[in-house]
Amino acid sequence: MSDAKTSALVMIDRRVTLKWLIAGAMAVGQLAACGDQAKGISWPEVAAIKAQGIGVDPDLINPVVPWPLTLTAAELVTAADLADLILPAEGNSPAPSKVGVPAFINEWVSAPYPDQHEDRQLVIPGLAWLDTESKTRNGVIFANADVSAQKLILDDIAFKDKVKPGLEMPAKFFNRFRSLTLGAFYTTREGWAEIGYMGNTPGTGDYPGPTPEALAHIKGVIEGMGLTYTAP
Amino acid sequence: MDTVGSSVNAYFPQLEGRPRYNEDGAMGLHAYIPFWDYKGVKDGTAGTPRGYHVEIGGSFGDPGMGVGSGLDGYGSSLRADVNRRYGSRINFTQRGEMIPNAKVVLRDRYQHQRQVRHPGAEILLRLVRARAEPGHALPEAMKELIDKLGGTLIGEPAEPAKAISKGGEIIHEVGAARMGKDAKDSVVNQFGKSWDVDNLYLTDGSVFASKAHKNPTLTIMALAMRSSENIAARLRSGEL
Repeated sequence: MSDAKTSALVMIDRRVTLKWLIAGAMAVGQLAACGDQAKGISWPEVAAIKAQGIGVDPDLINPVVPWPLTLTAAELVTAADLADLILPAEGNSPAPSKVGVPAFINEWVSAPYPDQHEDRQLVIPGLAWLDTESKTRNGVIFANADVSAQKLILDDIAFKDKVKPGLEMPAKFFNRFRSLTLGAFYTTREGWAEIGYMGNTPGTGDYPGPTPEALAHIKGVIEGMGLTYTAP
Repeated sequence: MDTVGSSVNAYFPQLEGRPRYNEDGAMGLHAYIPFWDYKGVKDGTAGTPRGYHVEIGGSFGDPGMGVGSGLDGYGSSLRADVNRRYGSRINFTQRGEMIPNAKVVLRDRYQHQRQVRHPGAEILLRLVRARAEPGHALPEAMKELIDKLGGTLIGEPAEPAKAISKGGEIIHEVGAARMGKDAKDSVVNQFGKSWDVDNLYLTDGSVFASKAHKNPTLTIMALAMRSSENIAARLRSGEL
């Protein structure tokens, strides 16, 4: 556990986690009583953000985010850990937490719009659930658990055909958080470099079109379907 | 009226791992099918009363927030899925003809802003069977095509009433003063001249009798040219 994580924990927002501790305890009881028939767990309501939006005709030269960022330091630590588990650093690609993905998610779920509120309604209780679940299983919050222990929790919610009965809402949260993480990461320069997006760049002369390799690939696809390929 | 619109997206495994290149220079629409299932429309078996066209597109575009949609799991395999799938998505956009019905209404609606009364219009496009049908037939036809090509749909098309775009979304709003051959059931004659007022011509999209699947601007210009020639001829003859 890094020093940054330790200091962030001091600022943990107890309001949501307390609700979760209660909900989690009830869920455990239900599981014991009902076996595999557990109906899932309740999901706390998160208050809607009331703040100014971007509005019309914003200053695009000096962009600002007019709404306050609302994730706590502890939530940001959990979000960073989760994003880095979703897309760990690999080869030349940095971890999401190194390219501002947690900050992006903070801005996203703090935005005063209906779609973002729907995501907020998943993300904030979801991050709290990770802590509650980790405490139940490992005795420590999610960010302080070993990577292997973190992954065991994800294995119960990350695969759509293998969601542990009762964990449908955490699975829904994870699905949405994964989308946000991927969207945030692959819209960075680092994400572009990895995925191979080569546009958004000035060029001179005629547009060169597909490379010979790309044309050869398409030729293979077309001929593979029993059709005749005509070179452009 | 507005053009009836619908859209279906699919991934094609054949396109996975395409060698990368800058595809920003290619427009989103790579192929255009000017009329789909002409025979079916003619026979009445197409499930849509009039024709529609299909616009086909997809590219190595700048990744957006949907880059991870439909993916599963986490870690290295997820990263591999994102990379493998990039550039293998094709969107099939359909545009069909809308026929007016009794529930399509244009009415005056004044807006009050800063104590000033601004004239405006409110267009009410209500769903009737004839408008709902193409909303069903269009995605179904594309599903069949995608299936034959070995693609995987990205999400099932919504139920018919929701699969089609809302009135105004295709931004082809026309009609309300239709052209016709008789003052009983139309507002203007074949030259855009009002039946009621001899020197009043309408030269915009209001005279359309239906909303075809194509963009209306060139038709509006052609009709305006036709109106102009008629006005000029009548001026020369002293009739106007």
